[in-house]
Amino acid sequence: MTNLLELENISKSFGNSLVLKNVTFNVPPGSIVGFIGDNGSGKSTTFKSVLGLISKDGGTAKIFGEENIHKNAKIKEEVGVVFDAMNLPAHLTIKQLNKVFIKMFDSWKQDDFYRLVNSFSLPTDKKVNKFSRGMSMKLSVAVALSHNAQLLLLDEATGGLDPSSREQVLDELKRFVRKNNGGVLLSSHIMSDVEKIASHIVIIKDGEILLNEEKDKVFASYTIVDVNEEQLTLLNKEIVVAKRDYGTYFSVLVSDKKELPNGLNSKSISMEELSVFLTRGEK
Amino acid sequence: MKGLLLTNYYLVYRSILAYIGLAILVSGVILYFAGAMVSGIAALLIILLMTLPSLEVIKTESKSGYDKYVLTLPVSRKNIVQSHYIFYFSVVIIGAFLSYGVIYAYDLFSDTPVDGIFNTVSIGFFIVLFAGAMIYPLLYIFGAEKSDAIVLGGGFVGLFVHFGVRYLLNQFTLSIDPSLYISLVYIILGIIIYILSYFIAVFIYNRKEF
Repeated sequence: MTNLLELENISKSFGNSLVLKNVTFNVPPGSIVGFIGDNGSGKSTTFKSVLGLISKDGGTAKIFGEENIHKNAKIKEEVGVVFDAMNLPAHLTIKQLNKVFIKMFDSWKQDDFYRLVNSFSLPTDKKVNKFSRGMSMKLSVAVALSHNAQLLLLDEATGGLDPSSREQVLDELKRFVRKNNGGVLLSSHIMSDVEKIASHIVIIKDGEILLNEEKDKVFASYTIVDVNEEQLTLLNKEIVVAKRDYGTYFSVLVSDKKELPNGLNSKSISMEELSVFLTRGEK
Repeated sequence: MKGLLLTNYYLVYRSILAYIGLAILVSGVILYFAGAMVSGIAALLIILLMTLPSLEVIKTESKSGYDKYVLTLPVSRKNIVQSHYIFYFSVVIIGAFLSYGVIYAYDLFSDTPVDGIFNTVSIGFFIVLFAGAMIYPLLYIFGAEKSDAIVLGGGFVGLFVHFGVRYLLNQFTLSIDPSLYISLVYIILGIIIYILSYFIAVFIYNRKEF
């Protein structure tokens, strides 16, 4: 099967500011792609470009092979979206939302919806604008998971959740991928979430993709070495991904630990370190 | 489309019910104290008050971010504009019937009869429909934050356009019942302008960025 989502050379600018620079990556079936970057790095703009909420200056974004999902709105039946804030209509209750979505989605699964609502302990008669941020995000995830979607686009969907709720949401996402062979694009600031469930990692900085790789491959071959200036010159430039200058020594992120010169001790890396290195380090 | 209309309804039905009560009360007070000569104002007021909550739909959608989220649901941008226009039009129709009913009831129970109830209501219908035709495209361009000024402006422009239409109609003399002819002109003209506005609004909304 082809990729559920394909982004190729997406570029976008607001005025003179170029916010997306040839953004390219895919979401294959059965994958969870962790989309990582600082605030303002271009994650939300990427989501908006994919969903056609803003125009693109260049490049293509294809969902299930279709470039313009607004031409055939039915395609959106199979896409679940959660933004970084609760965007459901404010004065409605969960019961009313269920009635609305029955009319809106051909494939609305009322039983799945109420199973998730109950498992997230959400009140069904309370207006959703009275919900806390955590409750709102759980409700948004419940909606996204209740219409047989094949692709989930989640922009900071786990933000604002307490650890136990986060665990619950992540379990539901894993269940979704396992059951439907679906794909998830998950942007998050919480590295432990990405580390826990992502199969692929995409790191973006200033609108540019710095890393686009399978997670297992990254942790198998990427490493950090601390070197002095002389040792730095001995490193193969091809494998140097980023480095940080600590005055007396450099910490260097390399993409292939096997290519390191003998005698250099490499350290295992965490998702947090990888992300900080790529977004804070220099080439 | 049904889902969108149902959302609009859930968002404002309480306000609409409250405004129905308010419209009946205010128009009743006006008619009681000022008599049949202000029946035109009472008719307009009823339809206008009825439609105010339906204009709140866009404001509420924008405030909660639903205007962005709804684009991710299996509906087209055209459907979204359609839902706003159909909902507003439905409320105007209900308002027109209510307006007719209130003035008819006053006519039945008061000593001073009201002439040309249909004509009076059709003018109110035209003004409010014209206001809607102005308001929606402007809301899509300038955003819901400016909604109060836009709604107020739309209402006033509708009122002035009505004076213009009335002036033009007075230039023609036809051999049919002038009351019926004027009413029909107002209703048909209002609907035509509203439909034209819908196409303009779809054009604007299709290019809107979120």
